[in-house]
Amino acid sequence: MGRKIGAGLALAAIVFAGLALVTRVQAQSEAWAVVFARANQLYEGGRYEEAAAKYEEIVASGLRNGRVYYNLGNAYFKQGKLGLAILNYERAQRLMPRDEDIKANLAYARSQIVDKIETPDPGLLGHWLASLQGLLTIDETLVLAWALYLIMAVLALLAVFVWRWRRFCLYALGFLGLLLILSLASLGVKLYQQEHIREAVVTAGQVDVFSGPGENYLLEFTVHEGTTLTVEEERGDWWRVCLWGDLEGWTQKAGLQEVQSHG
Amino acid sequence: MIPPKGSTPRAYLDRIGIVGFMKHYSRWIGSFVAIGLLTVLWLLVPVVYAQEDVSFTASVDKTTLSLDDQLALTLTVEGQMRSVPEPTLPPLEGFQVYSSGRSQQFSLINGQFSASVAFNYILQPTTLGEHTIGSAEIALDGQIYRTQPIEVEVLEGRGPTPTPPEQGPAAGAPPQLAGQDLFVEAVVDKDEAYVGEQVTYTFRFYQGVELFGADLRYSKPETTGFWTEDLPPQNQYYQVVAGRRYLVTEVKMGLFPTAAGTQTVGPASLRIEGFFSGQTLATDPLTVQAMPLPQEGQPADFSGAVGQYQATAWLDKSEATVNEPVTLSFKVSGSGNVQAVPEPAWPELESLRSYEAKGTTHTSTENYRVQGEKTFEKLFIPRESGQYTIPPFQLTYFDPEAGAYRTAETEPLALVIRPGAPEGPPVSPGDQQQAVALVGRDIRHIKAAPPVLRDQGQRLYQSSLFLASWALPPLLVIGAVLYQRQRQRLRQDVRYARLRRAHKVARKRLAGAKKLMKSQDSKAFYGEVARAITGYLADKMNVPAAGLRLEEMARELERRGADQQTVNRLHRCWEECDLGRFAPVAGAPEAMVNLLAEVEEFIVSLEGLKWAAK
Repeated sequence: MGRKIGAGLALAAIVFAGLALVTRVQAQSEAWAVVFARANQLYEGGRYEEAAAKYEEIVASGLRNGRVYYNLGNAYFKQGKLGLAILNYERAQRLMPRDEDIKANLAYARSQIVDKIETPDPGLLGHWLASLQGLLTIDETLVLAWALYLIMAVLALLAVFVWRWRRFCLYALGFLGLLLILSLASLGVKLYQQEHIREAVVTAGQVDVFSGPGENYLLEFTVHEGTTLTVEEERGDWWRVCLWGDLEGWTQKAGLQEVQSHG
Repeated sequence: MIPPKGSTPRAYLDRIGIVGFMKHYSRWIGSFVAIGLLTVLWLLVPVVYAQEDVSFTASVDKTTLSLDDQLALTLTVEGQMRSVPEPTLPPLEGFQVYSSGRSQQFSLINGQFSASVAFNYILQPTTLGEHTIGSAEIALDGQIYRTQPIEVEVLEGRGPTPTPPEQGPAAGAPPQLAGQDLFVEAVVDKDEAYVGEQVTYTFRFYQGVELFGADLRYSKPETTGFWTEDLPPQNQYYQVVAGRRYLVTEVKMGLFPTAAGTQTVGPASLRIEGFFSGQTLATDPLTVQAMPLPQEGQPADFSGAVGQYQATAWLDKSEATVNEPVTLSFKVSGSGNVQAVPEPAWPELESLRSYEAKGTTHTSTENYRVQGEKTFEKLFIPRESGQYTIPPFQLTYFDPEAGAYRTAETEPLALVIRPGAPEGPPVSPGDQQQAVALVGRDIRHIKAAPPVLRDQGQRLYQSSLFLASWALPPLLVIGAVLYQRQRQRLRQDVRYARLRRAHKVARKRLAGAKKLMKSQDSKAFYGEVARAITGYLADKMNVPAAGLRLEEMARELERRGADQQTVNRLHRCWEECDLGRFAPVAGAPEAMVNLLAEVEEFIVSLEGLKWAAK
């Protein structure tokens, strides 16, 4: 009997340690919260440039928070800097993917840009998968997978020790295992996107895209402020970029800013 | 809440079930009850006083008929009564009688409750000559009513019977089918029709035998090239074909050819599913020659309506103020495929803003002709005051019966618009509610400052501690599996269990011996030490401990690869124990301590031997 209690305690300790790990409070900076509030005041007073500078200060400190990026995006939007606004909304969305305000403002800002966005229609299933995929951040998916994993471990222990529940536990294990595989697959896709798909937003008024890394090459097309491009390759001061999967060429880094530059 | 029983009106109302009503209007109940009772009395007075007015008549559809034909006899009772019993027919010689049901109508006109019940019979003549249908009788309220007798003549062959109107059966079934128990046929009322003109298709099922519990399933014919409309209701009557009486069921359908040329109506079929067998009866396909509408004399504004139509137009009000919506309606009614009547050309009125028109269609199939009305409504919002005249609408249609184009025209309509209140926002059509107007659009506002600005950029997946935690559960589970397996083996395998527990048991014995040593019981001490040794070896060897002798133990030790020193030690310890147990004087404490230590050491050294191997 005592042994069972011991095992239970050990298990509880593991679960608790896991939760503590997940909710580990990291680098809570009350000082930055004060700066944030001050920037908000400036914004509300209509001093968007100063507000943006304050928000940028927080960003420069290395602290990443969706609210900061969102408010920074707003401050840029109010100054008419569409490219920077979209860049910061994009960054905010990576951190807070379910936030309705970010979604609305990003869509609104995108509706104001010069270039018409022509994304290929992903179809009903593709659309559904994409929205499901965009529901959780990498960390949230990881925690979900971890929770499933823990529950599976508990079920496995039960299956070993309690003969009567073995059948049920095995079925439940199969089901949870399926969910675990799905969430791990989703996690894999997300990690791939995070690590290998680089996106950049045009922050200059317009940038020219050439057929090679240099201005002596043929000018292929021009994109305007606020358009998001995919970065394929880097060579010196030049990026090979891709627009909506079909147009591609080389452009100078200066007119663009990478969304994941802090990642 | 149940109203208290006692007061009569309340109880009465309770009984007729308006309790809920009473709850809310109890003050008014008294007057309501009074009015209600008076009304009921008012209704009863004429019923009581007009009791005597009853008529009972007999009628036939014809007075001369042939043997092949049949006679419909109808007995009608009319008057103020609530229930009507079945009348008694006179003996009818020379006829076979079939009842074909009753049809009744009750009405309450000016407080007079009146009923009209018709009893229908089919009389099939069996002999030639003149027959008299005697008086039928009916008893109502204790009084007997009688009908007048009717004279009927039955002639040989086809009598001079007039062909029955439209509804009646067409001139006889195909002769080759006559005589069968069941057959079907399909006919059209005309072989030639204009495009858009109604052709009535009739399917008939002739039933010469009773079909008990059979399931009948009618499949409509293939009608490509036609727009169709079902024409209910089904019609049933009796008909004699080649001397045999059939129950005929008719199903009709209106066909409107959609294109000129020879159009074919495919076979219709009837599936008869009996208890044991089924059969399918199918008709022959039919053709209809669809004629194109004459090009000659076709008006320019003709838009395809075929039939006979009238047109009317009206406004929902003849006076309105600026910005008050006015509905202009245009109705086309008549016989023909009303659904196909196109939207009229609406008058263009500059200072009236118009909205999308909507059309509603009601069709009926009375007398098996498709007819109905189609109403178009258009909403106008006057923007300026003034006097307006809405010009007449014209509907040009083709009348297939006359073979000519005709025009239906409406009256011009006058509309007066008064200058209204200062112009507000235009009223949206259909509803009075106003949509929330989006005056300006902006981005959503910034987010408020949280008390603590958390760093969301920390990556959990980059924390090695977190990743290491994934290894823990499998280790735990593997441990659990091993532990469980071990426990099971100990429970089931006695030899293994003894082998594994031998050391532990021996140590316990030695600990017991230590206690005995302290309590100065040297004999018990030596006994316990000896038992520790034999018990241990017996467990390891999986043999009973009782009666295990020194020689056996020593031999076993040698066999398991123990060195001479260990065997000697066994001898020494054993002899010491024997001495201690049987010596008359108590042993020295130091010797006991030494022995204990030696035995312990001895057992530990034995643990290294290969006991598991046999």
